[in-house]
Amino acid sequence: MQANKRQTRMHFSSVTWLLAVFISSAIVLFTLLYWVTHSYLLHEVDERLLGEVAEFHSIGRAEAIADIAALSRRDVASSRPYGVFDADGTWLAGNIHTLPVARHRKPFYYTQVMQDGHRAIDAHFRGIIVPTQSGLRIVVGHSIDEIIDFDRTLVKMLCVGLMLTIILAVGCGAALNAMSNRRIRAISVTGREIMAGQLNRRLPTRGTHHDLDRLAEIVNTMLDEIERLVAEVRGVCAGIAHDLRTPMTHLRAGLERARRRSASVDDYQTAVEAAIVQSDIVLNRFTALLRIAEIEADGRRASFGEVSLSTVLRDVVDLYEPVADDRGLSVTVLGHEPVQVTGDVDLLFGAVENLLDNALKFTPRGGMITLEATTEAGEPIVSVADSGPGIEAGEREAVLRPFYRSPNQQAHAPAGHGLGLSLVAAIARVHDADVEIHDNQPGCKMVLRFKGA
Amino acid sequence: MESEASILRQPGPMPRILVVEDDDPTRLEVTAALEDYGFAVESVARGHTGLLRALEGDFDAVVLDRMLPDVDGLSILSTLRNVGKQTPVLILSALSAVDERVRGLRAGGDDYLTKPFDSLELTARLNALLRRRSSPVEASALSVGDLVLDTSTHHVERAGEVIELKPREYQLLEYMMRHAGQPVTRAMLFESVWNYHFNAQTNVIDMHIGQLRRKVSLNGRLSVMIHTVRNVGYILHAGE
Repeated sequence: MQANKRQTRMHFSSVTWLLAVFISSAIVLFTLLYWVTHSYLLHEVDERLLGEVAEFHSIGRAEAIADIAALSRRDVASSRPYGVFDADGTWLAGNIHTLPVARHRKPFYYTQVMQDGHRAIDAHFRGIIVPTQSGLRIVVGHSIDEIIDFDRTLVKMLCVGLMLTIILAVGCGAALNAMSNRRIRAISVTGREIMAGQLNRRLPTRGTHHDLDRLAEIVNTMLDEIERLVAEVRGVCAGIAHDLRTPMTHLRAGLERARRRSASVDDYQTAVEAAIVQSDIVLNRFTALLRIAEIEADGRRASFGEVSLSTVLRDVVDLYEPVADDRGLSVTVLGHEPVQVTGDVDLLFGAVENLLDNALKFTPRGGMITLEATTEAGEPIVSVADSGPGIEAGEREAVLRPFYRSPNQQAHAPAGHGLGLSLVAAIARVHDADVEIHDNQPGCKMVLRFKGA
Repeated sequence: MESEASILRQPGPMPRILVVEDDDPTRLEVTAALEDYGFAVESVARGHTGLLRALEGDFDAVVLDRMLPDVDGLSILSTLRNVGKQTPVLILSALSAVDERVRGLRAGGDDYLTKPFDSLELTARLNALLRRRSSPVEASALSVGDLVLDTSTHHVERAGEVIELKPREYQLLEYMMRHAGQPVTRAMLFESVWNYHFNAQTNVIDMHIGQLRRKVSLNGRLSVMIHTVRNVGYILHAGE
């Protein structure tokens, strides 16, 4: 639960970060926009003023006074004022009446009080002082009130835009956050249910390619596998319990009977012998189980070497010959070409032994068992084929699981603890081999196929 | 069937065995079992002490736990072998992996037994180790009572009558004759005759021995020489 909370907070803060970045970049963008527009407009004014400098630079004294007087009487004179001054700053003509203090030929700001009706207002200007060759100072002005008005409007617009952007961003962020929080809550609820033991539950998905959906699908696939494994482990546990209950019951009953009835030392001795036999059965089961676990746990590569499958087959058959004779079965080994694999000779012997033992158990009298070591499509294979009842296609995978017993085998199943084929499967896995079960028509053909050997 | 009493060693000097095992119940059990079967046992719980005692003491065999808390069993073994101490060593281990067995035997172990084990199996194996040491020269003709086996010609006869044996039967008989008068377990027979280390189904060995027993008794015309020792295996002796 702690982890869930932390995740939510982390998610929230990542949205906040995004918002902060988004909003500050909007502010930077709008400031830049304002500044570029403002300086462009001022630049236009300054261009014009500098143009005037060139025009008035070489003008004569009388001509300058006349021109300026004429210019300052125009309609636009209030927004385009002019003034001409003597070298000592005395006003000569024009509607600018005082010589501003500023550097020559450089545009500067100045304000002038203007009469609008009967109200005095501050008018803002950009001006330039042009010294002429005839020793006069001509001041050219340009009203920038319009630019200032435009700037204000621009700032207002940008502010409104910024506000809208922020509102939109925060809204979207909150909505996204709420949405993903809701999904995470749903996932964590399901997660808790799964942890509580409902292994069949799956994380909710919407079937989209959204990140969370893709993650949920991965987790769901994992859960499928876990559910399957847990079911298998449960099956194995039940199998062990079931398998051990019989000898344990016999053991207990025998001991109890001994306590009740035994009169002589011999009676007790017989009871102890029987108890040892029963406890051996229990121990052997455990040994078989542990062996599978050990084989699967370590790769066992250190004990690997070149193994001749043909030799192993012959040795197994040699060992089981009396058993086959006893059961009236004929066992033949086909193929005499040497087939080599890299593996553990003892484990491979164990695998073939279990396959043959199984075939001997399930084949009725007079049947035939054929073993073969050969190479098929470059892959070494070992096959053990019998003429017994065979294995139903639907059960072929299940028989490799520990403690699996075919439901229709129960009737004629000889004693066995259902671990033989799981042991073979475990040995095959260590050797990168596949266990294949084919139909021998009639009977069953078990094949160990060594990949990339 | 023979009673377990027949496993008891024949009177003579008691072989001295050093048991190095850190687990108290196992150590006590091994000690008790070996003492019951006629061995003189000294047991230590620590690897260091075990190594010192094995170096100083004059033991006929060492039973060594593979995993000790202070020194690894295999290090003790290699140290012993490096200083030229050739006392037979039987390794006890909770690890049955083939790797472990290979490692143990490579380090100089003479035999390897996986826990949990039957005390009779341990005794039988120790006896075999002691026997191997006391008669290192391979005799070419083995004889037990009126049964004679020639290892160079694989010729077997009993009371002058030739017994035809299959190769495996011959190997089984040779092994049993080399250990005549001593119980041998099914696992020992399987390991030495088939040379695989994978617990074979014991009833399969029983069937081989059954056939061999019949042939050796000349289909019942002469006395049975191969006897079953309950819970252990077999013993071959000349009989009464």
